[in-house]
Amino acid sequence: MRAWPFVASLSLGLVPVVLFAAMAGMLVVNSLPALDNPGLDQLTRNEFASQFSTGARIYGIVPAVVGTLLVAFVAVAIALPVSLAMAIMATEFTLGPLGKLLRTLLGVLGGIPSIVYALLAVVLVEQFMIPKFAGDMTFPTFDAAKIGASPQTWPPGDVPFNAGAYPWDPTGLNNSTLLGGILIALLIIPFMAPLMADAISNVPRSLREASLAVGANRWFTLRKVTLPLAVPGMLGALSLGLLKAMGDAMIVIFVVGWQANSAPNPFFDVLERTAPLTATSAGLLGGFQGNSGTCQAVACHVGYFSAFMLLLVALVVVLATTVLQARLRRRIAL
Amino acid sequence: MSSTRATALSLPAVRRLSIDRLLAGAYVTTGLVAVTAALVALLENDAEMLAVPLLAAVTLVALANLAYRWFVLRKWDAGAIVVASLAVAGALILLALPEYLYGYEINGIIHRSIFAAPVLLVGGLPATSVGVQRLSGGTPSAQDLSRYPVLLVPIFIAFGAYTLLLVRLVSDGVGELSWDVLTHKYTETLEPTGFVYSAGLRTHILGTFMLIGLTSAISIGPGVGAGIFVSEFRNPFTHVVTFSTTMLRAISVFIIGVAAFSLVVDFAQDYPAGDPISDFIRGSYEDENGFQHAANGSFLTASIFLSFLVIPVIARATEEGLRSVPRKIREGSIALGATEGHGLLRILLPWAMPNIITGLLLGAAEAAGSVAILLFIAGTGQHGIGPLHEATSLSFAIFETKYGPKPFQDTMTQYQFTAALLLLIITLGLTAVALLIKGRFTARYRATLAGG
Repeated sequence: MRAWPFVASLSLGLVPVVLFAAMAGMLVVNSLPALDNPGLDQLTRNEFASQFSTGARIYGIVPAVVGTLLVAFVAVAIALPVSLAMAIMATEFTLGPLGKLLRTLLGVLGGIPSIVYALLAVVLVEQFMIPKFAGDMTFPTFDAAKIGASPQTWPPGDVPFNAGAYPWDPTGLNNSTLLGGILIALLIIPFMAPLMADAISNVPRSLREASLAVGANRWFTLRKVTLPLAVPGMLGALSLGLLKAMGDAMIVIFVVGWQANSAPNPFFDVLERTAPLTATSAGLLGGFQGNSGTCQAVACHVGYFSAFMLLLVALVVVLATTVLQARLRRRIAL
Repeated sequence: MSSTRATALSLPAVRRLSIDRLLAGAYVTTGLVAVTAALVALLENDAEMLAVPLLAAVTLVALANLAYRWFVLRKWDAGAIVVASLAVAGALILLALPEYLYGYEINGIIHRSIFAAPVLLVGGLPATSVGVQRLSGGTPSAQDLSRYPVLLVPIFIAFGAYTLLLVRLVSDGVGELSWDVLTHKYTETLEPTGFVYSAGLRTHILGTFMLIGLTSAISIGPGVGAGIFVSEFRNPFTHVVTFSTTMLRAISVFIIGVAAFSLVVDFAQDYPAGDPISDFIRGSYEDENGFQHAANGSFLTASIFLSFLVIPVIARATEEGLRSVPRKIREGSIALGATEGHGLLRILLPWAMPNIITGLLLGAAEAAGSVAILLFIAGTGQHGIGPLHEATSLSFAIFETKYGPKPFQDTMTQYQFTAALLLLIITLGLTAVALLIKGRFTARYRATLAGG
């Protein structure tokens, strides 16, 4: 018979296990019917027409998967160099009190909820997206010849910026994948940077001091000693940031929208709106009604299936990171 | 050495030094101006006009450096060639581009200034770096100093973006902030003329605190328990618990929302209002005629699902706290004959308390801001506050201003920035207290623990 601390902490500690198992089981049970009714054939089509658009209902989740990858790529591509610079600044290259200040600021910024970023998307639209990707096109004085449109057809009648008449659509910039990616990058920077800083400061002090003692400067030490040894920790931070970027729902629901009818063409077109898995799943489960969502059986199962895909992605990323970290650690073992 | 190579161009050493510094200063000045112009060009399209002249200036300074070093010092200046060629290449690219790029069916026309910013950075940063290095003597530690511009620019851009967003939030949020909005709740009442809606954030504010309180109460036990189990006991279950808490942390918050949907909408919908199962899971409210209705989800349910998010945070914090207990304190307690339970309650947990409180506060802040979990199980907040009433929070109110019922949108959209500002004050307050405890009070508290 063990003492009570063991029994108590085991029974409490099993709560998260039960929670996780119940959630995974629920997702599997509810998403299995999706393999039956829309069928794997339809699920893997690059076409999506959901219940709130008229016509045939086609539940291909390829557009959503592409959307998830695009949003996560944009977010990580922006957040990685910035967090790396912040991590270096907070640990090895502190400038007086600036390193400590940076750590505090990151801690505080980490407390900003994602819905606040989602709401503030409008600022980035006004200050960045429209000027950069529509220019002065939204003004009536715009010289259409600049972009090759004939002056007679500009502005395009009483339906301004009709996406059918012109290949580009400034109003579509409000919902572009790029905008969602930038906001998610702002969300994950305060999350990744402290983790990366920890990875750097976890490198044994003796190694850094040995490098400095034989005459290397701090930059050389950072590049040749500290950063290579911190790579496993950095990888952990990167994978957590990636998972957060892929799993974010509020920013993409608010900014990018609920559904994408097809993957963007060309596939790297981040100015198109391509709703990721989270948003598509939420839309299918009835979240677009704000509350009391009731969804039809098929749509519901596809919604669960999309969520299950997210869980799978999380599992794969966590496992891959663990394996990679173990290999790297073995290689750089001292 | 230089005396053997004396030419007509040779200068006295003192003047040579000052010319050297002058040229390095020119590097720093033009480089910094180019970097500043790049930052401006990120927001102002017209700033791209500055790009080509500034790159030309950088090139000129680099060429001047090259010439001076070659003709006077007889040294080959590779840095200047790199800087000059980068600047020239950038300027040529910019000159070759039209004002708008479009085509390939990309959904937008790309303004040239989006290329001007990186090109200016690529031209300006090396110039600044080389200049700083020369100005501070060209020693190895001067090289360290010269890397600061490269590190500072991305940080500056990121904080510029945060400032841009938060300034707008504060200015718009304060504009609509009034005592009336804070103290009234959102209501829908049926008048003879039809429905009348009135705006207010009271239930949303109170609901946020309700969620914070309930979630903390629910998650503190399992969180601390899991943390103790993982750090104090080694057995096969340890890995299972670690894996589960890691996965709960790693999966999307949205999946917890889907789990909530499955319980509240899929499962509880079959039970009518008044049934205890429905009342507990969905919550209920009475309309003005005294009829009982089922709500979208109760505060209790919402808190239970929010605790999925908070338990791993607390578990992690507890684990960290227990690991930091010094060996001598642990061994001292065992040596004096303390039982496992006594040691845990009197020695280990008090030591880990600052970590646990920090984790709890950070988790609570996260719970307050989370919408993805409430997405399917919350309402407009017109039915009051209580563990079995319909859940709502400030963050959900913001969501509803875009996707909620039409009347709610019409009434509350003007207050969305106010709601966001209040939410930010609550979450940042919790985060700041947590950081304060972690950074300032922990050491003092532990010193008294160890000393007493």
